[in-house]
Amino acid sequence: MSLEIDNLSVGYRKRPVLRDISLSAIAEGSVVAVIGPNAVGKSTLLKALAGTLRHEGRLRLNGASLAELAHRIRAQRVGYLPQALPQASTLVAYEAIYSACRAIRGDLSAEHLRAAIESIFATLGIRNLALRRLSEMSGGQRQMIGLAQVLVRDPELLLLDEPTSALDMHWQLNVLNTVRERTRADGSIALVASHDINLASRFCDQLLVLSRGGLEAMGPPAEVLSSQMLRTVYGVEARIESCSLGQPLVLADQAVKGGHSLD
Amino acid sequence: MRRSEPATAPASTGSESLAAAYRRFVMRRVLLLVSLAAAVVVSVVVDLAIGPAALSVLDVAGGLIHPASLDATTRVIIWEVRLPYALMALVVGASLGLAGAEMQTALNNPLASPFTLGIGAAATLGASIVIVFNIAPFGLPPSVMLPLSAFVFAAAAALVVLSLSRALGASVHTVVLFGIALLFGLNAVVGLLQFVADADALQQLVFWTMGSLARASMDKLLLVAAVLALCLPFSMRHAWAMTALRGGEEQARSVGIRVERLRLIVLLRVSLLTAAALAFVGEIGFIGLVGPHIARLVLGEDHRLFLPGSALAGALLMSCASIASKSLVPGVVLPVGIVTALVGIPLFISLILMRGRSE
Repeated sequence: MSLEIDNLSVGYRKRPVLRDISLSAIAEGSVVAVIGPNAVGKSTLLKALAGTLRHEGRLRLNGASLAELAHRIRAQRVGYLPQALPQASTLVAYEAIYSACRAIRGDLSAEHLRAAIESIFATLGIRNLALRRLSEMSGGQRQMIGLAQVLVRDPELLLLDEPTSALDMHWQLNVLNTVRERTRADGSIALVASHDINLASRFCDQLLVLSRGGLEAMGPPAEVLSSQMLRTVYGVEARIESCSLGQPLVLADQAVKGGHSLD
Repeated sequence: MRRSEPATAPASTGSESLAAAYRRFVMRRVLLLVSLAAAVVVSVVVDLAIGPAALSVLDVAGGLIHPASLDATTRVIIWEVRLPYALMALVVGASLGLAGAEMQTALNNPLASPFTLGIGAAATLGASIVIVFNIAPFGLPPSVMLPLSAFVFAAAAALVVLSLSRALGASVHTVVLFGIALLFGLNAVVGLLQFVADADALQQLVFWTMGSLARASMDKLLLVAAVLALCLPFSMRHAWAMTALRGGEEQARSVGIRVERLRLIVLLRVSLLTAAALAFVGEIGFIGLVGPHIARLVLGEDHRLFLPGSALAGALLMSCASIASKSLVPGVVLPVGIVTALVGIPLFISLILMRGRSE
């Protein structure tokens, strides 16, 4: 299993967001954090890989061009968790997940699907939410249901757009740990867009840093993180310390005046 | 997610598998759906019993099961006069309820109904043109031209709004705004037609806009029922995708559902259902809006139950409106369109209040 990105360019209307992004093969079992300031194209990159945005360039999953895969096959092999939380409708969690699988996988036996749902609720520790309405859940609970909806399909490539944005510390660790264990166990690849650099460094094998100019850096957290990079990309003065486990820890001190725009 | 919440499952799902707990949950809703169907049957029997010739509910029920047991006059009253009327109420209500449910899901808007996007108004314009200009190509009678023209205009309205929206890459909210603009435009054209219409055509037009079951007959009933029977299986084929859509548009798209294509197909189906339903009875408001709300309250949003439930709730509302139209003023049959609006508004407000309290 590997993921290759060749000259990827994506834009909204006439405004380019990502230009000529190329990545050498991302190896199987990897968890890659996609980091960078607001509006540099983290979500855009994931959407292009998920096939929900038009793009130029070549994307290959395990040698197969994603663009050439039939719509349904691509949706099965690539699991995308959007940044938006599942809608607060009157659906109960179980039927939200069951219907999403049934809508495109008529070939799956009901028995197989039920077992997969049972397993994902247990793995994520959210069994108590199964028969609760989405409208009666907190944002964090709905985020967990959205994640279950993606993981239950067992995709080869996981694209998670800020999967822990609505979660407290316990559930942030729970989610990222589940994703890391899963990729190591089955050799799948996960790309996780995040604003939490320390959490990303802790759980991800590599950091992919996007800046206004495109791809800024990619590599293991200890190699990529530097005060210089954080000043250039994020417009902040920050120190990189080493925690007691020997992992890099970013301590941001202050924003550089005029060093960063929200364009 | 809060850690203060129980780490283990509650009693309802603790000892049994989630699938078993969910199956029990669905079975409860199936029973409610069956109860709704039973209420529709009772309502139709009551509707058949009400009228100038005094018949008891038992007489009617017996006469429906054993027509031979009735005397000739009663048989004619029940089978030839009242049954087409009562069944037309049922079929039109079911069509509008189903169309409203599909519309609300496709547009992700609980205020959507067949009248949103101007589909109902376009059907009225189609019918008005035939009435005012007496159009009859190839010698087609008004009974064919009226529904045909209503459908063509309804479908055209849906296509215009969708094409505009697609061309501009618009969101659902913009689709609804385009629809509202179209609705006002179409109403203005209908007003213009009323202004230029002669007295006879004007009377027909006014009658159309009031909505009445008095024009019901067996052949018209069969046509509306055929359209409903044709659309319902296709609606049910999309039940999973539409349920998933209620979990969120981005989520649905991410699992591989082609949301735009689904929306287009649904709107065309809504046009067909609406045009067929309105073609023979005129404008009937509120059923398509309130029916799905009742179904949602009772059955939730699993579309395997929500779609037939909305059709049944629409049928029940329309049947009750038919009963009220004959009972409110002794000796007078009010146009049912007036009754649905009169009954629909307080019912709709009470539903909103109930939902507000429960939330």
